[in-house]
Amino acid sequence: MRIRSRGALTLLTAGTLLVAACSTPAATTAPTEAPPATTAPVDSAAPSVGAEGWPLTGTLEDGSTFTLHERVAAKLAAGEPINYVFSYGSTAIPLFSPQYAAGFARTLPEGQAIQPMNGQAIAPSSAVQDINEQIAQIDALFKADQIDCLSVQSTGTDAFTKIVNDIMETGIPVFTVGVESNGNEFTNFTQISNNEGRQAAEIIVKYMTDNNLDFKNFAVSGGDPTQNWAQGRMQGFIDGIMEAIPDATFVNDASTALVTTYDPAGTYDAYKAFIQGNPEVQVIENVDIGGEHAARAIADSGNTGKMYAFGWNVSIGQLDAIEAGTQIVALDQQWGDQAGFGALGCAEFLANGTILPNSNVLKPITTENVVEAREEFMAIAGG
Amino acid sequence: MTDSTGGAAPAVAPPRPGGDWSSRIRAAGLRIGGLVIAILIVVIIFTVLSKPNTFLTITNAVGIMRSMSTIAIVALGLTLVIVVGEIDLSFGYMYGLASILIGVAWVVWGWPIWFAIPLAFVAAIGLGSINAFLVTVLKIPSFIVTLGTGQLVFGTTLLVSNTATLNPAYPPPGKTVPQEQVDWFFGLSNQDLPLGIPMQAIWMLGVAVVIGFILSRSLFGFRLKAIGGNPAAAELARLPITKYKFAAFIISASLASLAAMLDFAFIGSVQPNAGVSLTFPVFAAVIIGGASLSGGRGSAIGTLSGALLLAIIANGLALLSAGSYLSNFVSGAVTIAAVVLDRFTQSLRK
Amino acid sequence: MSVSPPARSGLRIRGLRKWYGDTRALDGLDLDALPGEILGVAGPNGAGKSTLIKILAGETTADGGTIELDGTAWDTATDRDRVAVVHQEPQLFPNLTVAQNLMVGREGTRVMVRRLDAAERSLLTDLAILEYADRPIDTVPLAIAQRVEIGRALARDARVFLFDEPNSALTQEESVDLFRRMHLLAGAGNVVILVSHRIAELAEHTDRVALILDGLCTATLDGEALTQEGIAAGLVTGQAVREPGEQVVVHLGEDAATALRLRDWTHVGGEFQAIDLHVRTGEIVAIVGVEGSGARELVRSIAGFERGNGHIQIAGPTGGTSVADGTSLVSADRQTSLFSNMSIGDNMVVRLHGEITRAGGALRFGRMLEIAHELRDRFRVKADSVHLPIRSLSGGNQQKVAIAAAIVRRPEVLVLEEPTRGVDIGSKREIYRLMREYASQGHAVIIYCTEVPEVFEAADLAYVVSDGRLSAPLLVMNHPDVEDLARAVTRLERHGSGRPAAAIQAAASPSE
Repeated sequence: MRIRSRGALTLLTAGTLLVAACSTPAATTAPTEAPPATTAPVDSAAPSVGAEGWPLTGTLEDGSTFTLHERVAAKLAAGEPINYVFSYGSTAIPLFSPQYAAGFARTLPEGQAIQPMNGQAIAPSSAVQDINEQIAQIDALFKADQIDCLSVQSTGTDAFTKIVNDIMETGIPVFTVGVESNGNEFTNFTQISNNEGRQAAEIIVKYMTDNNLDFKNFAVSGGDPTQNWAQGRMQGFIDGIMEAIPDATFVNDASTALVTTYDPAGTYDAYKAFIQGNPEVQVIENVDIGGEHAARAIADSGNTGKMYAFGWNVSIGQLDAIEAGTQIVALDQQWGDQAGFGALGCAEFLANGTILPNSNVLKPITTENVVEAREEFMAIAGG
Repeated sequence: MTDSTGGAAPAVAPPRPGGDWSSRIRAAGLRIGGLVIAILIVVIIFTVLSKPNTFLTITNAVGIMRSMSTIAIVALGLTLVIVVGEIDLSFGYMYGLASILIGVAWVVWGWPIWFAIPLAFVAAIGLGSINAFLVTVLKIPSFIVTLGTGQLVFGTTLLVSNTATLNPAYPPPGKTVPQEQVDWFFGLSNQDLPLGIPMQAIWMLGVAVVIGFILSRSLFGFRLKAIGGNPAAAELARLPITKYKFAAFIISASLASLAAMLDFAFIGSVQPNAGVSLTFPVFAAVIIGGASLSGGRGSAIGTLSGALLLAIIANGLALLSAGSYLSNFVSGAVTIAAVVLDRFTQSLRK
Repeated sequence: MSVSPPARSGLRIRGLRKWYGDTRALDGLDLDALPGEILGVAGPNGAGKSTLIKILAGETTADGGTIELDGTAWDTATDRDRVAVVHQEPQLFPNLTVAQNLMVGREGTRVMVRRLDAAERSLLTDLAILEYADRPIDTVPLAIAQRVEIGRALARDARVFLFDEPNSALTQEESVDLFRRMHLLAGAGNVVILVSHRIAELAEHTDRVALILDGLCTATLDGEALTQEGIAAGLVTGQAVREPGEQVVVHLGEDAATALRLRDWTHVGGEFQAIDLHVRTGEIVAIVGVEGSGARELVRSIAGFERGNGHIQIAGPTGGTSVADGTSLVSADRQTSLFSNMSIGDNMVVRLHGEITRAGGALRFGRMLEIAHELRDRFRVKADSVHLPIRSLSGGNQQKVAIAAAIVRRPEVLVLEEPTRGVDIGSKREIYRLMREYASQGHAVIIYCTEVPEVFEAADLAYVVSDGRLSAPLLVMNHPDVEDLARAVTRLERHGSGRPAAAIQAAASPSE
C-alpha cells in the first residue's frame, strides 16, 4: 500500500511540476514578446572589406587577433543572410521588456537593409533577470551553430564575460548592451552608470539654479540598491553633487540607500516612511522606476514644492509627476536604442567592416519635453 | 504488536477552578502577550533611533496602517488555510493575476469595471478550487500543489497582460475608460477620512472582523480547527473535510484578489509582477501571529498583530534608511525568532 | 558463524523492575530462557510484555533487577549485539538494499561500499533471500524483510532472538516457514523467545510458556499443562469477577428490533470474508480476535472506516439509516479520537452541528457548555472545568470523553475499538456501566476486544474471528467464570496462524 501510493504521488508530483515547468518555458526560440524570425531581403552583393581587414580579420583591443568564423565568411561571400541573435534579460519585466522588444523590432529592418540577416530575439520569461537561464539559451543556439552575430544585454558587469569571450574566440562577433561589461566584445553599448549619476547631478544643479532653489539635503534609493549599476548611479550622483555643492549633505549613501523593492505599494510605503523620518530631505534619487511613488509620497505628505524626486526610465507615473512638479527629471536610458543596437552593429560590421562605437545617451525628460515623451511611450508600452 | 503500558497520569498542574474567561485569556495571552511586548520593544527602539517627533506621530502611524493593510488582508485568508492544516504558496501570484485581470478586462477589453472586478474573484474561486482538489482528492501535499499552481498562475498573468503595465487614467491608444468608473474605482482605496486614516485600513478591519468571527464564533471555524488539529480524528468524527478545505483555499485566493484590487485602486496602475514579494511578509505575519504550521491554531487578532509588527519593522527600517543588508537581516531574524517562539510555546503547552 | 562458549546456560532474569512515573510496568519479574528451547511469553496488553522486550532489546533501561546471559551479567543497554529482535513490522532501512541492510554497522574501515563476503552470502542463501540481495527493502515482501532482520542478527552473532508478534501479517506458508526457522535457531543452541497473542501457536511451537500479568511472571506452563486452553485460562485467572447482584440484561428475544445486520460481508482488502451478523438493540456484542485475524477490520467496517462488500443494514427507529448517520466509532488509539488542541468541552461537542449553532453558522456557546456539563456529569469525567485542555485529563477520563463525543449524536450502533485500553480500573468499570446504559436505551454497542476479561465483564454475546471468519456466538452469561470463557474462546480460534495467501478463497480446513 505504501509503495503504490508513493508511486502515485511521485507521478502526480512529476506531472504537476512538468505542467508548471511548461508554463514558464525556457524559450530558446522567440518568446511571446519578440517578433518571429524574419527572412531578410536577398542582396547578392559581395561583402566589402573595410579598414584593417575587418570583418574577416583584425586586432582586438587586448592585442589578440579576431578571425571571422568560416561559416559566416562563407555566407558573406555567397550573399546569404546571416543569423543575428539578440539575447536580453527577460520578457516579463514591465516597462523594460516591451521597450526592449520594440527597440529590437524597430532597427531590424534598418539592419537588414545594410546586411541580409535573419533576426531573432531570445529571453527568459522569469520575473527577474535570470543570468543562468539567459546564458543557457545563448549556449544552446551557439552550439547548434545558429548564431552568426550576437548582441547580448548583459545583466551583470562580469556575468557574461566568459561566454562573450568564448564566442568571440570562435570568430563570432559579439556586441553587448544595457550594462557595463568587461569582455572582449566589439562594443559595449550602454550607459556608464557612474557617468549617468554625474549627468543626473548636473541636471539637478541646473534645475536648482534655473528655479532659484537652494538644495542642500539629498538622499539615494532604489528597488534593489545592491546592483552594480544602482551603485554606480548613486555614487556618481553623490560625487557630482558634492563637487557642485560643497556644503551639501546626504542623509544616506550608496551602502545605506533606502530599499523600496519593486512592489508599487511597498515602494510608496517605504518613501512615506522615509520622508516621515527625514523631513529635511529635498531631493531623492531613485535609480530605477520608483521615482513616481516617491513623488506621490511627497505630494501626499504635503511636501510639494519642498521636496523633489527624480528617477530613471519612463513610466506614466513619472511623466505625471514631472507635470505636477514633484519630479524633476526622468532619465531615459533609451532602452529602445540599446535593444536596437545589435542589428545595426552586426550589419555595419559584416557588410562594411565598421565597428559602431558606444553612442548610448541618457535622454532627460523634463517639463520641456514631457508631452512628446508621453506620446512615444504610449505608442510602445501601452498596448 | 504489543502496546505501551497503561495510561500513566500526565504531569500537569491540577486544574484551576475558574470560569470561561480566565482560561481563554490565559491561552490567548501567552501568545498575544509576547507579541504585544515585541511590538512595544520595536516601537521603543525605533523611537530612540529616529529623529525626534518623526516615528511616533499620527502621520507615521497612518502610513503604517496603509502598508499593513495589504499584508493583513492576504494574511487573514492564509490563516484559514494554515488553521485547517494546509499551506498555500500561490497567493502572491493570485494577487498578480487579479490585478491584471481587472486591468486588462477594464482597460483593454473595455468591460465596465463592475464586470471586471468579479472576473478577478471568479479566477480566485477557480484557483482555490484547483488547489483544494489536488490536495483533497489527489492527496498531493499542499506545499507542492500551491508551488506549482502559483507558477501556472504567473504564466497566465504574463500571457494575459502581455507584460504591459496598465493605467486606466491613460488607456492605450484606441481604448477609452469612462471617467466616472475611474473615479469610483480609485475611490475604493482613496477617501478623505479624518486623521488621514487610509481607506484600505477600513477594508482591513472589515475583513479582520469577518475572519475573526469565523475563527472564534462560527461552526465553520470551530471545525476548521478540529480538522487542522487532528485530521485522523476529524475523519472519525465525520467532519466535512473536503468541503472545508475547498472553502479555505477559495477564501485565501479571494482575499488575495481583494488586496490586489485595493492596491490597484490605490496606486492607479498595475503591473504583472506585483505580489510576488508578498509571500514572505504574509507568511511571516501568520506565523508570528500564532498560527501553528501543523494546523489547528490561529486567530484573526494574532495575524493582525503579526502584520502590524512586520509593518512597523518595515516602516522603521525605511524611516532610518537602514539599507539592504540590515533590512533583509532584520526581517529574517524576526521571522526565525517568531518560529522559535512558536515551537517553544507549543512545547510549554505539552 | 558463532563460536560456542563453554557454559551456555541461557538467559536469567531476576527481580526486574521498571516504573513509568507512578505506574509499575515490571514489578520484580523473574524469568528463565534456556538455550535450545523456544520460550513463549504471553500476557494481556499493559501487563509488561512490551516493557520486557524493550529492556532486552536495549531500548530502555531497567530500574532494578539483574539480567544474566550464559552466566555473566549482561547490560542490555550497552551490549546490544547479543540480542536480535524480529518485529511484526521490520525495523530496517527502507532505502537500502537487502545486502546493505545486512552490512549496516559492520562495514569496516573501508571508504568504498564493500560487497558481501562469503559468510554473508551463505547466510542469505540459508535464509533463501540471496536473490533479493540488491533490492531495496521497501520493495521486498514483508516475510522477506523479516528474514533480513533475522539475517542481520545472525551476522552479528546474536545469541538471544526475540520474536515480537512476528507473524500477524504473514500468510499461512510464510508463517510455517518462520516457525521452522525459529526451531532451527533454537536447535543451534540460541535462546529463542516468542511473544505472541496467538494462543494456538504458542501451544504448538513453544516448549514453555511464561504468563506475564501485572508486571510479574505469574506462571510457567510446560509439558501437560501447555495446552491452548491452559494458556487461555492462565491468562485470565483472577482478571475479572462478576459482582454478585450485577445484572446482565440481554434482550435475546425476537421482539427486539434489529440494530445491525451484515450478510455476506467481505473485506475489500481480504481481511475477512462472508460475515453474517445480526445484532439487536439493547445488546452489547464483543468481536474477539488477535491482531491479523480480521476482527479489528470487521469492527471498523461496521462504522464505514474499512471498505466492505455485501449487505450492511443499520436499522433506525423508522427504517434504515446510513452507516454515516447510524454509527459512531471510537478508535483504539486515543490520539485519533481526540483533538489535543481543543478543550474537554469542545471535544465533547465536536460532532454536533445543528444542535450548537444559530442560523448563520454562529456557535451557541451557552448551549455547548450545557451539553458539555451534562455529559461530564453523566459520564463522571473528573474535570473541574470543561474549558481545560483535553491533555490535562488522565487516560481513563480521556477515553470517557471520547466515548461521550461518539454518543452525543445518538447513533444506533456504537462501535468501540478496545474501549478500555490503557484505562485504570475505576474508569474501566464506569465505561462498562456507560455502555450498558447506552445499550439499554435502545441502541446496540459493538466492541472489538483482544482481552477475554473485557468480554466477560462487558459483553452479552461474543463472536470470535480467526482467519477472517466469524464463529458462532458465545453467550457470556452461560460461563460461570472468566477462565471458562477463555477456554471457550480459544476453542473457537482456528489453529494455525496467518491469513489466506491471496484474496481467492481456498477451501481452508482447520489445521488440526
